[in-house]
Amino acid sequence: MQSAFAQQHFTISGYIRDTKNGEDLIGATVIVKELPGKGAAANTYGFFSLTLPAGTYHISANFIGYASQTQQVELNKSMKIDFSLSESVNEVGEVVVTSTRKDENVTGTQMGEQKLDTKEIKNIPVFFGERDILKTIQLLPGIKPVGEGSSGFTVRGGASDQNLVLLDEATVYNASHLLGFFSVFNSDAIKEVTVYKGNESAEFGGRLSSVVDVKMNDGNDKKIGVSGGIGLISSRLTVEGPIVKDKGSFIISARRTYADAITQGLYNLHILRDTMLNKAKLYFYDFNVKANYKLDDKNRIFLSGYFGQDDLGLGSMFGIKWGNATGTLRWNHLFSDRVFSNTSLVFSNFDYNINAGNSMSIISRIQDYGLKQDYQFYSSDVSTFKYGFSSIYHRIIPGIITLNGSDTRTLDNKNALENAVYISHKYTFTDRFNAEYGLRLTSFTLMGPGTFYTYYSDGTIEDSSQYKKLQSVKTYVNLEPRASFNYKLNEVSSLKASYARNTQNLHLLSNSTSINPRDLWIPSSNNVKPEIADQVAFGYFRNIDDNKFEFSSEIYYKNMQNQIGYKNGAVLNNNNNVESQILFGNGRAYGLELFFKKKTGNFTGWISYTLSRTEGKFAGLNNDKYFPFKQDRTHDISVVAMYDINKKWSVSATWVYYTGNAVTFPAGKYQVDDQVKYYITSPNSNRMPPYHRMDLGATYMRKKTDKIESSWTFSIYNAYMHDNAYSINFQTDPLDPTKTQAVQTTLFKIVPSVTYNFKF
Amino acid sequence: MKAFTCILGLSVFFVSCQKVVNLKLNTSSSQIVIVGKISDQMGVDTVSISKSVNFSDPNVFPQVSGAKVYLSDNAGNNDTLKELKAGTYITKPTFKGIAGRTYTVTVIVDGQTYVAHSTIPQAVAIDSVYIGTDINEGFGAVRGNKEKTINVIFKDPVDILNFYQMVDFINGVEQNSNIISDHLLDGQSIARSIKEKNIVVGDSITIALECIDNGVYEYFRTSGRDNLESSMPANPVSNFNNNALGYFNAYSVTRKSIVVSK
Repeated sequence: MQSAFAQQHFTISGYIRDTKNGEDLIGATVIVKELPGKGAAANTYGFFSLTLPAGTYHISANFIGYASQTQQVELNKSMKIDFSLSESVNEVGEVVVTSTRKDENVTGTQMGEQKLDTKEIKNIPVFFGERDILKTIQLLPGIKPVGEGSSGFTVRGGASDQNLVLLDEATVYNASHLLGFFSVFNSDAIKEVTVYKGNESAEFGGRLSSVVDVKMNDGNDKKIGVSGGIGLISSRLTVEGPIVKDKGSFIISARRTYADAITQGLYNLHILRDTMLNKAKLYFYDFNVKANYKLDDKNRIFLSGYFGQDDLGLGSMFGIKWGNATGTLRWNHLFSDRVFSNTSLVFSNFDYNINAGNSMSIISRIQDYGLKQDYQFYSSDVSTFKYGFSSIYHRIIPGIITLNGSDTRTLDNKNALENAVYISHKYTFTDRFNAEYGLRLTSFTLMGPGTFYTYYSDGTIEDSSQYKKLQSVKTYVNLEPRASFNYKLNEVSSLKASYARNTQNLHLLSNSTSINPRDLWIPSSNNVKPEIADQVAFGYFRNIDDNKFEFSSEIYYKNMQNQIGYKNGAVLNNNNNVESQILFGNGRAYGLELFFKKKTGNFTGWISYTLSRTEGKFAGLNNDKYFPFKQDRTHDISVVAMYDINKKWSVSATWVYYTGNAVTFPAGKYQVDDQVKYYITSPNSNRMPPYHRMDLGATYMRKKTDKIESSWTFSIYNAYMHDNAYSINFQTDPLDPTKTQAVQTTLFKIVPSVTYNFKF
Repeated sequence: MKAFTCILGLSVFFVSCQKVVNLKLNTSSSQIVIVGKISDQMGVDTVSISKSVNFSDPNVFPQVSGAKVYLSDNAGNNDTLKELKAGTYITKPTFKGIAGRTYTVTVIVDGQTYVAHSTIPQAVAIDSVYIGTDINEGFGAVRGNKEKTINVIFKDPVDILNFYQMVDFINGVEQNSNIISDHLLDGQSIARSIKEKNIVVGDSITIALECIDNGVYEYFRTSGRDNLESSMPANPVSNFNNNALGYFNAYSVTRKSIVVSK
């Protein structure tokens, strides 16, 4: 009956962009004044599609930090509307009134998701003058640094290799420079980062703990622009502009550090006498390049690439170079105003090259060649489907070792094919209840050529078999269900629940506590099973005072199977039988995350608190009982405050506190060959001292016009000079050989920095 | 230049610093520690038995008296070691290990028996030892400080797994020891440089090249301090059973000495 009278439906679709530079506004929302609760969000390419009954509507596009824009439409046929929004200028003292609700926090189904726009965090205090998005995300609940000043992080108790770091869809295998003190992401080239803490929708997969989805800027398609910064130990420069005005643009960003130039200068001035510094090389550089072009209304192509290299060396004695290279070619195609498609060809490479004088060199490499196809089908105003597939060929070259310039030994190469198909459905059941649920089916095949071994439990070889090229050694198939639900209690609060299974078939072997480029990636194999995590989470979300404040609380429990541990004294480098050196066990992680954020006004910031535990159980370790993983931290607090004093000055401060890592300290001592040795009982049963630190920042806008912008950024890292423990070592007291003592090393007492930034 | 001074001023802050801290550490019951060493040279060899103490205690390690200590080999020889002084048990002065034989030490203390096996590998000769001056680079080297290095060259036997412990002596006083495995180096001429700060002309330098078995090598390898800092730390891999700490090393040794001439 109803269908006979049903009104005709039409589709409004288009793109939402920044007026000034044409950048896509990812996640900008379109809402309909006449139909509260109906709306759409722009996808990663700024595209939206909204199907409504015929009628007259006021459609407005909104994005945080931008003035909203409204258009009246007479919807009697499907139509295209592109919005371009301008950044809202925030006068001091003025209350920015927005007619729209910014309440995604409460209305969306997504849990465990954190999104940061690089603009939003531009005034946060920095370390050594470099803004770093991977360090900023560590100030969010559930995401913790692996150590002092490190860009490495762990999410919800997972290991640091359980994070999938994507740069424009390409996997970045080692996201750090200079042994972790900088990330590979040059913030000038980055638009935004989204972190999914294990509850991602079915389109993502491959790692247990999180996906860190980093999107590069597209470049200004209106006019040529140059920006950059000059700091104490690094400088950066970005050039962007139109290829054809309003149709295509490019951006090139480069940076280089010169810490070694400074230490060398000190040596030449006889201030530092250690000859290491004269011969030491210690720098990195990286490039980000991206271009896009609209072929027509329905087709757009993107090409993005990253190349970075670290170089660390000591004269002719020792040198190590390492770096990532990624490349993505993407094609956006609109099959109709309701079906959006993206096809990506993805390449990723990480390698290192070690030289020990003339006597030995080692080259190691991991490469991905991938094809990814994603569809988004906006089937109705309450229903969106995402589906697609991906196929990645992994090639791992663990080590080509050359001795004395001629004698070459090669560790066995590993080849694997990883395929996935997925479907995900987002559906609004009622005004109060919506959900996103999906399935991801993955297969991972380890292939020949090569010799593959099985091992006895003591690590000796049991058997070996030869495999021909492309012959399957072992295939694992896994089904990964994902679901998240949102029940709105009222206009300002909601309850959410989610479940996700994730699997991981590439594993990083790392038995040290710091980030090391030599850590080895191994594939799942006849000995190594895929890691599997099941995570459930519940949350309460509330917005306060007309969405000026948002609050979220989540609890999660994660069970992890086939976790990797290490046998006592495991040899992980230059070992063809490395799979004989590892142990397999189970892990469990659980916690509570609280987040309170002020999003608008002159004063913005957040407070985040995490209470958590993460433990593992391995046969033969700790009497087969659970013990804390090293990244276990009970309490973790971050406070971030940013304040715009006036048009010239803005100031910021961050404060972090967390329980020290789980570590193993001696429970006794004994003597062997006149040396004192330390006796340990249970692993990771001690704690490093609690860590806390305050950073301060200030930005002075020297000049800001439409044409030119220049500013100074000042930062102080560890402003109250707290002696945080980087490591604790045990030794015989040099003054009294009958005693032993614990010695704590602090890495950064206080680090002031200043950077000059410009843009024209 | 002014800018440079400014940078310098800032850099001073970066320097890391160290301090002694008081920590609340776990305590443990006293553990048995056995260190046994026998060689292919004729002479008295020793097995020492002591106990562990808590970290906060002084470095006084109780020596274990009254233990029964037996040494046997796979050729059917047996011997009971004699307690020379508290905790020190010795073989007869005519004892000489034979390369290729597996030796077993059995220690009985307070009703508990601890057993370890070790096989003496064939000895490997040192080809040459010479003094080099000044490798004036590398961590810790200081400008103008001419350090001397002791260079040792020996040929690894082909197709045999070899493990070495190299010990250097200056005027008869033991300085340092390093372990070497022939993994990746099988059958090659192996060169090692040992940096010693206090070598002067006229010093007598002796290098002892001990061939050790795999189990003893694993003990030395896992007893380095790195092990405490790994993500899943454990005590060194001992070749004793029943959780005794320490090791039993049956080894062959060759020596070469030189006098520093310039």
